[in-house]
Amino acid sequence: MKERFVLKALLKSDVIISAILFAAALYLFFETKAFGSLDVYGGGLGPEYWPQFILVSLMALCAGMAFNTIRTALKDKDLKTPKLSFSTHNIRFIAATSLIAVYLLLLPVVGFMVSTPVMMIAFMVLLGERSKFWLSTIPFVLTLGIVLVFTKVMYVPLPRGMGIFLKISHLLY
Amino acid sequence: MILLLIFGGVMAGVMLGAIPGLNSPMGTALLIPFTFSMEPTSGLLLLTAVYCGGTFGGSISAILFNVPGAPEASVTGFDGYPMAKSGKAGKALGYAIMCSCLGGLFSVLVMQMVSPQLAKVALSFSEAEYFALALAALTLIASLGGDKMLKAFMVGCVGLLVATIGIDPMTSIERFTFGGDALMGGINFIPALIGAFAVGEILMTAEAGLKKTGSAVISVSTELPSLVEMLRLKWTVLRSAVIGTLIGILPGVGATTASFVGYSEAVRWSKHPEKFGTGIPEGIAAPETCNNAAAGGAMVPLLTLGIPGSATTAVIIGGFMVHGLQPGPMLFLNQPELMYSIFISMYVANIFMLFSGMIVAKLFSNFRKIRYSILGPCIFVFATVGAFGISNSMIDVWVMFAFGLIGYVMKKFDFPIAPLIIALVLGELAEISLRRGMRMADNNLSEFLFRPIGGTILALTVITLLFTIYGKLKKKPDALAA
Repeated sequence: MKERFVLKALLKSDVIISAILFAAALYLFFETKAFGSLDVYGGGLGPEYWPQFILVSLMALCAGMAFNTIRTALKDKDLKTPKLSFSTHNIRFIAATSLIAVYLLLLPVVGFMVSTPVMMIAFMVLLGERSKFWLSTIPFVLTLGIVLVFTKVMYVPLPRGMGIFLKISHLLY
Repeated sequence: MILLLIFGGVMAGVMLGAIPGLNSPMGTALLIPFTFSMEPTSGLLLLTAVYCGGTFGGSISAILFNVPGAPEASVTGFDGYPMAKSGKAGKALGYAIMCSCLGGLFSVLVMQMVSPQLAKVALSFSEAEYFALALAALTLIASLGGDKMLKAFMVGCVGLLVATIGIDPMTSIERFTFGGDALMGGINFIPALIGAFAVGEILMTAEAGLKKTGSAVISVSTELPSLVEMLRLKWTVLRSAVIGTLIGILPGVGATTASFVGYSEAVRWSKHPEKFGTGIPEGIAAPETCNNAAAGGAMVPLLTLGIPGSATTAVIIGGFMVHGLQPGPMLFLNQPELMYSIFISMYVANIFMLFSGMIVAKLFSNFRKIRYSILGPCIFVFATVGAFGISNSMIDVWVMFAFGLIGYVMKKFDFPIAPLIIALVLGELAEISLRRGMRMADNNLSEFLFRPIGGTILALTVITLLFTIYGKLKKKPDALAA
């Protein structure tokens, strides 16, 4: 019975996040060894000093957080902090994240002017927009407006893309 | 004609500030060529008006969409956005406009009266004072964590660590770049901020689906606070105006740090510090007064010593130079009429900001009436362009996305986001001033710490931090736990 409570406590998100952060901090702490040492920089605080101080503090805080969460879980046999779980809602999150990632990957290749309306339409549909009028106007009007303001007025060189997309972008900017 | 020019400048500044990706330094720089054909006085008044308007403009998008249009408006979103979400967007905008105006007017008054003396005090600040200032603002993390102090400190450490990424400014050693070029320049806090707040929110909404869609349909009409409401904020506004002006005068610190310090002090002095971050007027009044006061303050070293106090004032120096003028002490002697024209134009610009702020806020607030299924993707596109526009680099856009995911995870598992941004903004200032200061003090810690101004700020910071922690533990013994 006690083992079940320990396992449940360990599955709490705070414990898992603390463990991940602790491991990352430990790895980065060893990375800081490559920055050089105090003696190399004329006796002053070297480039490793501040990151090491922060990493040690972070590891201590992570340990404290994990300890407190497990202790509370064992004591109260229940915790307010959420458990890591997976639901159908996560699929929508994964879809949105993937859409953004694909858009950002394609942006330098396809260019802002072509990729943005496509991404916007997909995102609007994902968020539940069904009006054909808005789906067919907003993405194009907004993209055109941004392209004109940012490239013609403010001289921000938005990504133009490559090949045929570069030619399309050159029609406007 | 001059009044029209100032109004146009303020209006342009507010518009530029409100759009993420466009900012006051950029707008001022773009307007310099337009001043070529103008009289030096008119040209400089136009640039100053854009500067005043631009400092406020960023708050509009921070309040309405949680996407700060300018770095100095980042803190305004901490309380401005929750207030807007609770259906009081007009009121939040009203507080922001009024407090910006008051902060700006206060700093101009100070600038006019004691410019040379203040500039001398500012120049006596050394690394120890800068470190103390950064530490004082960082203690805000303890207050912002609410009853999740341990989590807030953890997040703060992550922010401080992220601020160390890139080439070390003192030794040129690469830190946490993992051998690649992408991270050499470090992590810019603006894309991180846009990502953590705006993209994180969009991802949360996408996950929640249609349930959250209705909440964005809110009618907004800017509502200036009444006299009674402003009187309730009198000490917050006065304290923030003083802090903002003083920090603005310090070269290289700027309005962004000022707004963090101002917010931190507002939390420290408040009787209800736990309410900050939930959408209270003090949380808007403090950073807004501070950042506009800092904008005026930054003009002090510019006009008296010829040293820019911020990025925009550095651009304004260019404006002086194209007209054959060299800002500095001699300008007061040789061109007093120009100096006083600038002072008066800043008074006028801050008053005009009330009107232009309301007009632009009205324009932008219409966007909040749009369904979230339309608004969300639009905000994302603006966030992307805003991140890209900082240095015309896709790296910043990826940083925004990465921080969007971090923001999502933090929201999902109840970690406060604000400490991450505070630490990210102030991390470099804290580290560099500590290391430089220690080197200047020959690694003698007592010499570094026990300076009159720096030591006093440090002592006050430590005392108030201990009181905050003690107060929280007394109120809720497991405050450190989760």
